[in-house]
Amino acid sequence: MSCEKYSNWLMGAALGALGDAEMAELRAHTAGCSHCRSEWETIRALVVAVDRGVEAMVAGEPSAQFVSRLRARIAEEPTPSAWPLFAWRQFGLATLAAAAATIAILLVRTAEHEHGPASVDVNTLTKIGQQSPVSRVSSLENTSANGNASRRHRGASAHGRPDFFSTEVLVPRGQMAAALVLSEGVSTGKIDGVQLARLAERSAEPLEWRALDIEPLAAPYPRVEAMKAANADDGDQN
Amino acid sequence: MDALAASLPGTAVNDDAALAREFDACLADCPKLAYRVALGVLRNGADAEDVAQEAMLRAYRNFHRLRNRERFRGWIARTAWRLALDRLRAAGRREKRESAAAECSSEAKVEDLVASREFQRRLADAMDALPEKLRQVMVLAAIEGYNTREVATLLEIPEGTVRSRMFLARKQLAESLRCLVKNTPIG
Repeated sequence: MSCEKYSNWLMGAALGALGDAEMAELRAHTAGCSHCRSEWETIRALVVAVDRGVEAMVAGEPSAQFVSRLRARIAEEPTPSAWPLFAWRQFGLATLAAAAATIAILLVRTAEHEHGPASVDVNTLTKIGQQSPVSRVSSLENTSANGNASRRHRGASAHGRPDFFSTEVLVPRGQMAAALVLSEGVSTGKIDGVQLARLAERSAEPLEWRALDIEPLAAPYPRVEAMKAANADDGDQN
Repeated sequence: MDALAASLPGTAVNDDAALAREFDACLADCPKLAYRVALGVLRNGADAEDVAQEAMLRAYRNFHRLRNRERFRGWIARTAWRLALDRLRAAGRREKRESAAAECSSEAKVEDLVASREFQRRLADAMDALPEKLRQVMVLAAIEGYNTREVATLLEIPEGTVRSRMFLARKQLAESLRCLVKNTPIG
């Protein structure tokens, strides 16, 4: 009975899963029991053999030509500048430019409304968009002298809509929500718009690649909702 | 494209170059890892090398998407593992060996076992019989010198899970091969 008990412990002991007290008990037993001692040594050696066998199974090096073969295959791949990262960067620049222009315009409008002309130069910020070859941002007030913007502005005012509707900013597809959230943050003071505008001015400088974990957006955004409602009203009136 | 890249001084072009350099640095270590993982599944050097090549090529294509470079080794290990399994299944190389092989027909000194073909064949069979999760941990543990923390990092699972899987895997392997060393104490 005693040997049967310890025999059941042997595998666990060989695998290092036995507690200190049990291990001491097993050692004491095997010291006086030649059968269990032999069994213990066998199992312990077997576990070592298994470990070594698996190690031998995965031991080895790729051939000396491995890296050169890989490089040859990589050479057949699209060049690094065609990596999607580049497209992402373009898209990112466009988004940054759109956001910067939106904020700047909002700041100017808000400042004009409350305190007269703002200290932020909207033209400077709009240049950011112009510098980016993929930027689709344009403010109708800045892109031409046509009367669309002002007409829209006057028309909007006539409808009693907030001032920030008076300027149109074309945002890249899919980035409208981000731009609105950003403007909402600036308007509510959660984001320092002036500081952000200054940062945006430096966007022509080399950008640092940094992975971002973007938190899911929390809804609702009051001004976004207001904008949607205003747009709906506008549509009804048209 | 070059003109476009040139118009963005210090941004995309530099990033691409940095990315290429970073990938180049990975070539010092990762091919060996990919090769050994594949070898643990395929047990054939040429096949393992092909799989490692494919894994590295996929890594190259997706390198820009890997936010955390510290997880790159784990990504490579898991990719190589999956590709090796796919190759094994596709080629139908996983031989169904006769169950008679499980019969204990010989006994040998333990220290000779590792080098014996019989032991290696039985061990390979026993490895094949392991559930995939146990086998994966066993292979990676053998590559990493049985460092459970490293294996946990590679597989992105808790260290305790690695330890329990390793215990089960080694126990199952040892019990499968026990008949080969029946009553044969080490010398």
